[in-house]
Amino acid sequence: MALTTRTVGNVTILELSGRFDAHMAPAILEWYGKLRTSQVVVNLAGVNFIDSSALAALTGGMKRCRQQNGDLKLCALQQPVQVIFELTRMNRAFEIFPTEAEAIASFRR
Amino acid sequence: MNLQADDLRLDLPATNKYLNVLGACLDAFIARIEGVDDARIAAYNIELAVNEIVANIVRHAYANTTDGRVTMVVRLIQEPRQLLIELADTGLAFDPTTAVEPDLDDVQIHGYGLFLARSLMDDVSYTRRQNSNEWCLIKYL
Repeated sequence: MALTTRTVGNVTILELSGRFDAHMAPAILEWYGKLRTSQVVVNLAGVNFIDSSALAALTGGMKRCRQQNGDLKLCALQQPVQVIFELTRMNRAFEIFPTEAEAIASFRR
Repeated sequence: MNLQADDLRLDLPATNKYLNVLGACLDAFIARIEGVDDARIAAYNIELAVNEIVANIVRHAYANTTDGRVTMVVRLIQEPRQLLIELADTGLAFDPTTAVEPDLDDVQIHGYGLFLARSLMDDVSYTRRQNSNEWCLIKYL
């Protein structure tokens, strides 16, 4: 899995690609440790697999951002990876957008 | 499980590092099965279910050791056509009473693994043998 970080205004974009599983989840937790903002978009366009450990890492990040009056939003999920969000109903907990631009724009509302 | 001629058997270290190997193996096996409806989604869901059980084995069954091993046997059965996947380890026994169903109305961080496997497969069963744990996952194709 590869991690790329960008900033657009006050929003930090975390772009992931590859397989996001229990082996890679600690890398995301480490990334949160360096995070200085609470407005985050995780772009999952390049992620072809997500397991419950990865979901836990995303959920932990979302809770952390919301505690700081921000949010962690998701965008560009591939169809197969959506199943884990649907079965766990995390698709209701996260704000999920089709595109990165829409996710970024949602912070300006 | 006594191996049959067309069974695929994988034996690997019980570490999250090799979850991708399990996934690739299952993908390749399912790709050779003809006439599977929406094969890409089916393969993904089976891979996720197996991934969750193996991640639980790594985390719980081998909580006290780093040198455990997991074996996976994959078998295609006909009439009705089904994929049978057996996962075995020699770690600590699984206690079913500790496996609480997640509260889907709450945002919880952990506790979805077995729930996901059961949701994605047609049958998930667990047997404790003398010194080993055996998980049997079945998906009708």
